[in-house]
Amino acid sequence: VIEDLRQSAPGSTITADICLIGAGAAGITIAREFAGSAQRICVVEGGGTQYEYQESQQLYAGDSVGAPVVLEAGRLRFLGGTTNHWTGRCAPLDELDFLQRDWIPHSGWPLDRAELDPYYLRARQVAGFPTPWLSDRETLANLNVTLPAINEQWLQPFLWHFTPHSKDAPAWKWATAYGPLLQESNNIRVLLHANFAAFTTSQDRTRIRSLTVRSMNGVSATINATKFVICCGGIENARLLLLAAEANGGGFGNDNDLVGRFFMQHPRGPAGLIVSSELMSRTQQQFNILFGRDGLAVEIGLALAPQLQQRERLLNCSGVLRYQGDPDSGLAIAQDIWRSLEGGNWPPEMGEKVGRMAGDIGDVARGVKQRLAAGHSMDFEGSKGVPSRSAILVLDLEQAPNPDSRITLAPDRDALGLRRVRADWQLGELERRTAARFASLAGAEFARLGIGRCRIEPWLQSDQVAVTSALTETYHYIGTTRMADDPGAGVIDRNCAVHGMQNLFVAGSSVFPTAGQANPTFTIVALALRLADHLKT
Amino acid sequence: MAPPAVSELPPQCDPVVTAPSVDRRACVRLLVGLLGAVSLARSSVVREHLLPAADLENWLRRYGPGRLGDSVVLGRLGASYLASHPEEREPGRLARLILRDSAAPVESGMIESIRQDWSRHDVTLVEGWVLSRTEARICAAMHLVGGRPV
Repeated sequence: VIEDLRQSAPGSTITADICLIGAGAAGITIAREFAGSAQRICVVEGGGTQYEYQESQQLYAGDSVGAPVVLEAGRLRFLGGTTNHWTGRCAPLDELDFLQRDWIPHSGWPLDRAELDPYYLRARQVAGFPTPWLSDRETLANLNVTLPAINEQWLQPFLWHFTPHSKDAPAWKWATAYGPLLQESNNIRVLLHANFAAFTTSQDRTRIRSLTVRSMNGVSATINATKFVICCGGIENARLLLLAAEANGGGFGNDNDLVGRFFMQHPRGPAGLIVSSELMSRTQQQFNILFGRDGLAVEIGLALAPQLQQRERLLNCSGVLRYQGDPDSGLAIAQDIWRSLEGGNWPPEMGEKVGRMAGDIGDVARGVKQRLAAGHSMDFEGSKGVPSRSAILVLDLEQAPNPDSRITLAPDRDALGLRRVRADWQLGELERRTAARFASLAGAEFARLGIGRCRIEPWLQSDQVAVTSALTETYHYIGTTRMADDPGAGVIDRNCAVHGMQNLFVAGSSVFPTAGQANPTFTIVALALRLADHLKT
Repeated sequence: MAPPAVSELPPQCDPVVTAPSVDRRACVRLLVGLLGAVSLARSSVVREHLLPAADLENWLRRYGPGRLGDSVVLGRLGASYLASHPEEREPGRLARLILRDSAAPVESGMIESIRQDWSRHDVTLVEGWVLSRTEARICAAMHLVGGRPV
C-alpha cells in the first residue's frame, strides 16, 4: 500500500517488523523480498512519486568544500530514488576489488567476490534482465563482435550490461518496475513525503525503539519496528547516522569517528583524444554500446588488468571511447542535405555534396540503415552511428579510500530544522598515476593495432595540473559507512549491522569499503538481497 | 539559506565529459605527420630500399618525407624529444638506438624496433602524443637532418 504522510492523521503510530528508510534501489529491493510474507514492512520515503523541488529535493542542498559535489543534482529524492536518473549500466565488482591490497591503505572487504556471486545472479533478475548472465565470451558472440588482439596482460575488455529499456523508460526504474508491487502488497506500507526526523533508542543506545518521520506540512508519524534499515544513498546514510549520534549523545556507529569518512566516487574524465586518418567504422563496431540479438545493450570498453594493478600498485580503472562525429563524412553531409530539404531549402553546393556522399556511400548506407532500423530520424546523432575519425578516451577511476575525504554536518539547517551536509571530496595522486598509466597503455595499444594515435590530456602529463581540472563526479557516492569486521575500522559489520547497535542496518553504496571501477548500482542490489536474506533469519 | 535556482525537472544522470583541450584541427595537421610512422609500424609488405644501417641519415633525407610524413611536423616532435633527451643528440648514437645494431636494411630495422617497443611498452610522450621510443627517435633524427629531401 502506498500512502502520503501529508494526508495522514497527525501523530499516528505504525508498527512494523522492519522499517526501511528510503525507497531507492536498496530499499525497494529489500521490500520486494518480503512482499507477500508474514513480515510487516514499512517503507518511509522523503519524496513523492515524482520529482518535486520545494517539497523534497531542496532538502538535499548542502555545502561542497572540496572537489565539486553537486549535492542537489547527484541524488534524487522521490520513489525510486536515484535510479530515476540511472542509465542502467550494470557490472559486478572484480575479485581484486574485494581484496586487501597492501599498496592501497584501508582496502579490503570482509567478504569476497565469491560470497556475492549468487546475489549478483539474483540482482540481474531484480534489475529486469530476462536472461541469465552470459560469460563475456558468450556476450561478445551474442553481439557478433570480434575484438582486436589487445595485450591482456595490460588491458582487458570490460563489458557493462544495460538493463532493458524502452523509448518511454530509457533504463530500468525501480519505481516503475516495483511501484505496482508495493501498491498491491498487503504487508508493505509505503509512506511518501515522510522525512527522517529522529530516532528514539534504548537507554544504552544499542537498540532503536522508534523512528519519527515528518512531512513538510508538519504531519508527523512514529514507526515502531523490530529492525531498521537506512537505505538513503551514499551521502544521506552518513548524514542520518551523524544526526542521530549528535541527537543521542553518541553511538550510531560513530564511536570511532568513522561515519562520513572515506567518501569516494568514481572520478570520471577525458584521458586523451584518439585520432585516425581513416573513419573508425571498425572500432565503432567493437568499442561502443552495441545491441545483441536479445535486444539488450552492452557497452564494451577496457579495464586495467588485475595483474598489472598488482604489479604496478595501481587502482582499478576502465575506459570507453566516445566518438566525435566527422563533419566531412558522407553521412554527416547526407544529414546536412536532409535538414535543408526538411526545412524547405535547397542545399547549397548540392552537386559537390552529392559527389562527396557518393565517395562515402558504404558508410552513408550503413548509417541510414541503422537509423531506420532503430526508428530514428536521419537527424539522429548516435554515438555508434556517426562515422568518426576521432574519439575521446573517457576514464572511470577507482578512488583510493581516504579518511580525510568526508561527509560532515554543516552548521546551517534545512527546512525541517536538521543540519545539512558538508562534502569534502578529496582526490589524490594515485588516481592520477593510475589514469596516466591506463592512458599510456591504451594509447600504445591503439597505435600498435592501427586504431589511431593518442594525444594524452595535460592533467596526465604534469602533476602541476590539478586533477580536479579534468575529473568530475559521477554521482556514485561510496564508502561513508564502510563495512569492516573491526569496529575500529568500519561503521557496519559484514551483515550490514551498525557496530554497537542491535537492530540498525545500512544498505547502499555507503557500505562499500572500496569502490572498484564498476558502476555501483548492481552491487547495491546484490548487497541489498544479501541483507534481506540476513533480515529473514 | 535561499533555495538555489534548480530546474523542476530531475537532473540528468551521466555528467557530461567535456571535450579534451586538444584543438581538433591542430590534431589533424599533426596527424598528417604521424601517419607515416603509423603506416610504417603496421606495414606488412615493405618496399625495402636496401641501404645499410649506417646510412640512416641518407635514408631519412631521401625517403623520410615520402615514407614517414610531414618532415616539418616530425622534426618539431623530434626537437621536443631531444630537448628532454639531450644525450641522444649525436646522430651516430641515435642511429644505433633506432636500428639497434640490426644488420637488416634501414626500413626493416626501424619497423622491427617499433614492434619491439610496442611489445615492451617502451613508449614516450612527445607533446602529449604516445609514441614508441623508436618513433620518437626517428622524429629526432629527422630534426637533426633538417627534414629536407635531397
